Amino acid sequence: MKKFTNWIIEHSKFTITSIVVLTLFFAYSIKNIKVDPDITSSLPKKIPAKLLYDKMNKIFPSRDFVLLAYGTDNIFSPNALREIFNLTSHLEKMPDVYSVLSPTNIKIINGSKDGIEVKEILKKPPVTDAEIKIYKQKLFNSDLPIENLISRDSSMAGIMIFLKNNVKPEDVSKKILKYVNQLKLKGKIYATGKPILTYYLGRGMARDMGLLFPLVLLLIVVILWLSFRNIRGILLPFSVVLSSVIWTIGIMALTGVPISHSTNMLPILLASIAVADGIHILNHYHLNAVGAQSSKEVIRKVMYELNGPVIITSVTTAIGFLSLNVSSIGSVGQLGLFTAIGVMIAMVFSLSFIPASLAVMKIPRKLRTKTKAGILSRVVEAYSNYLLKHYKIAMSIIGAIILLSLAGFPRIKLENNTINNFPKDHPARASYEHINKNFGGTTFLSIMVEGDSAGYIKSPRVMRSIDSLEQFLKKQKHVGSVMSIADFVKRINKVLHANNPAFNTIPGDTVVENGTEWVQKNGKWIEVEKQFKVPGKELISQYLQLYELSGKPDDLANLVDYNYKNARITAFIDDESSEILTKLDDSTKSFIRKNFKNIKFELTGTSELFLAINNLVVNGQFYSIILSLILVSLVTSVLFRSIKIGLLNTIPLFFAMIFNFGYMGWAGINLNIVTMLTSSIAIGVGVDYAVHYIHRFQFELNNADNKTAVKKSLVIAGEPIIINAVTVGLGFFILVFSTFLGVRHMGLLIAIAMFTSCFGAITILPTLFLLIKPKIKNN
Amino acid sequence: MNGLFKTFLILTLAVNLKAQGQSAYQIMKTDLNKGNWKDMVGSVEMILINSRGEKRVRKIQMMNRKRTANESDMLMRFKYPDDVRGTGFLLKEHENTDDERYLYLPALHRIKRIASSGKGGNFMSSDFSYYDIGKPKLNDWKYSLLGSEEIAGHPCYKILCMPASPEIVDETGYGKIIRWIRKDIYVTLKSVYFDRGGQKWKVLNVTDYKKISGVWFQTGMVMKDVQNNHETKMIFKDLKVNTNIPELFFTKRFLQRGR
Repeated sequence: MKKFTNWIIEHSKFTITSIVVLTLFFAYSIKNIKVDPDITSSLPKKIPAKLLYDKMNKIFPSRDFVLLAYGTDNIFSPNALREIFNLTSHLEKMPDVYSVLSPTNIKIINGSKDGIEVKEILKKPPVTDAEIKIYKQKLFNSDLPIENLISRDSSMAGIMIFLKNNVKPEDVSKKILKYVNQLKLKGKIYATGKPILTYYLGRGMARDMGLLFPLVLLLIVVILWLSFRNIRGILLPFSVVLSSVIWTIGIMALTGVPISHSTNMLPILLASIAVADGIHILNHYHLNAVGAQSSKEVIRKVMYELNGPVIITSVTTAIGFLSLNVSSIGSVGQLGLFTAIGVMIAMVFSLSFIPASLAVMKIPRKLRTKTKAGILSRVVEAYSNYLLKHYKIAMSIIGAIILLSLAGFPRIKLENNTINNFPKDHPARASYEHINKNFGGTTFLSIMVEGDSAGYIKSPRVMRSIDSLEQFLKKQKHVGSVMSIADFVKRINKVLHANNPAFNTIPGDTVVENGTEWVQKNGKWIEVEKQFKVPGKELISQYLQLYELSGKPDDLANLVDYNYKNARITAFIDDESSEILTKLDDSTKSFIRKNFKNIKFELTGTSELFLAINNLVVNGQFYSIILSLILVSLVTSVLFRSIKIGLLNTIPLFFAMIFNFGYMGWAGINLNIVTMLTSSIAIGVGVDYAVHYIHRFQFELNNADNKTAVKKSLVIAGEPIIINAVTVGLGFFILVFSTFLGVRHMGLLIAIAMFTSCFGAITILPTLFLLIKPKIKNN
Repeated sequence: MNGLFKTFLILTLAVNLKAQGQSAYQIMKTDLNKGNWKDMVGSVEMILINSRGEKRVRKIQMMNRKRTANESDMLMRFKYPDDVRGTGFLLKEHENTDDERYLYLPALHRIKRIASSGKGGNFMSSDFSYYDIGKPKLNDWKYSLLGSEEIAGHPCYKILCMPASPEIVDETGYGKIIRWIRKDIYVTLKSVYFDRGGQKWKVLNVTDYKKISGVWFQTGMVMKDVQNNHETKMIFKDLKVNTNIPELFFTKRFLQRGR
């Protein structure tokens, strides 16, 4: 390392120039960065729920939909119906839209004794009272699921806009919202659905990036100013922060990794961490500059001393982030990997750019003479005196905190839906809640029926199973509407049997039909009534053909595939909470197991994706904590050349983690895809404080007894530890100003973890060392 | 002098345009009325292909006759797929009222009248509309000659068809049609249909045509809906013309009983 430092100092201008040039290159690459706010797209491809979701995507032309709600004093007035009608027909024409289902365009099946008609409910908006009356009559007697088209109290109309599978849902959402806004409709419009939420997520992310990153930079400038009170003290660490963020995002852009709901936080996290090394180096430089002449020599001495700690703390931090990769959630792993890369880049800059720059600068006159005894060091001194006298009180307080925290564990809830991530007053959440309260629901559970051959779905047995599963789902709590091909078969069966409600069923395997026959009587052909036995499958096939013949080729494409091999039942759910989805998932699966032995039903849909993320969060959480603890103790063991010290390092981390989970339980913060990041990050960054303290303690133990060493190390290392923790903690705390609750919580939790692991390092470790008197001398 | 020249120019242009309009009309008239056929029988294979390349195949026995100059009757019987074999469809065109459409479902042993979805509706859920397969009506459109182009090596007239009235647009859904008509035999080889918003909607390519009993018939057609990415192929086989199909073949009884 000394050679490296010497080379850097001798080639300082070359070092600075090459870093600047490369930074410009990466800054230029950033223009290609992709943005992907969809939380479900980060699910690993190989998990069953996602596999099925993608498979469904291949079989059925559309899966994501936007639900627009139109509300006015009376939606059954000529004006309102005209607005809904026109809105519907325009939306149908949008190129990214697969199909639109609205109260003004649904196809209804009606019939009389002799005939049947399958056609759109309206040709043009009804005007007179009589027309409106007929329209309402048709709408409410269609036997079709209209719970998402007309609100429960009939005060709102719902328009379901199904998007094509090959479009970016958030982009189409934007177009739809823009179009609806410029119409200046008399009715009030609400919009929700996964594409709309993804769109708002993306907007929130852009806002976060635009607001929080400058904020964290400002915070860093303020802290640097308070610490050093000169331009170079601000400029050098600040350049390290900015260029390491630029390099990291540049590398992300070059490798095609998108800005996601997780990686969106990277600049803030990295900036807060990247500044720390610079602070240490400049701090040491200032101390050593007193009375010195050559800037080169001062920085050479500083770097000889600090190369080690800078590398240790950077490596442990990077390891904490890397261990996020045990999570199989793609975006979380990416955040881990790229923050780790960023931390390493920042380390290299701190070890090269800062010394190189200081080498070409002169020592300011002010520094050469200045000496100071800060307030902080006096506070630390007083604290250490107190702690040494009353360490038993400190111990019982710590014990009480741990017990209280543990008691909060069972209260932690898993919750991974998109909607809870928005604050209560956010328009996305308000619309979502308003619509889901009044309509069938916008979260969906899809159950795919997979057949082995073309025409499989037309078999009465399969069709009856689809129907009975649909009826089961309809009875479940929070399921507001269910849709399947069986609805159509039943309705046609009824209509073709003189609207007799007894025929609102799926035909049996063999059916007796009252048909007619032509016979010749007295030389004339007449039609006479006769009973026939008919296979149910033929009946169903011909019903479906009848429907097909009256419509467009793709009318049923979202319910059944082209050759009637696979079908899907879609249940709309008015709540996204994991608890409700889990219950529905369990009861549906057990109903299927119990009732359908020979039919392959498989569950997917947004509800299943949320549940899958939940499972991954739990597993990922557990393993990444274990892994980061093991790796961190391993690395510190190697660097300190002692397993004992490696393990001692983790003690403040345990405390910080227990406190954090307890806090989550008591404060009602959910464990989710974002808050799960906290622990590993806290371990990687938080271990630094223990490293600093133990490093110093070891050093002091060489020429003092245990008690003196505890005190001396606390007085000397305490101040930088606190400054470091406050800087990093405040940096993370900036996340509290995010649009999203998850990110706010995470910012708060990591900030807390910084203070608790710092507290652990300067309270628990000294107390422990007083008790166990560890023999960890270092020669 | 100058003004006089202008007037002259405008007059000649107008006359020219008129002449061109006439000639386009004549071309269309020859195309539509070239065959002096009264009735025809044959089988049709209809292949529907969706955007994923999945296919639905239907085989149909078909009879068609001209009842009046502008109205025809059509009887179709499904041969394939098996679960709809025997299903019959009877279409009686009417010039001034809605067409009559009847469906015979063998499983129900009953004929059901199907409400008309209008001439713009999809013919048997294919990409052809009832209007596309029905007898084309010359005076629904106003024609102008856009020039000459080659289709598959054959010189063709390129003709623009604009709706003669707003009702035609409502009825067919077409805002305009461009046709390519082979110059020597007056057979349409290609048509492009535009929706009422002026967007390209469907493209018809005639892949095969034969002279049967002295009349040219389009025996292979591919209609592609470019907006919905869906296409329909229609292939006619065993076409026979003017076999004097009895009138009773186009009745409900025949539809149900088959004889």
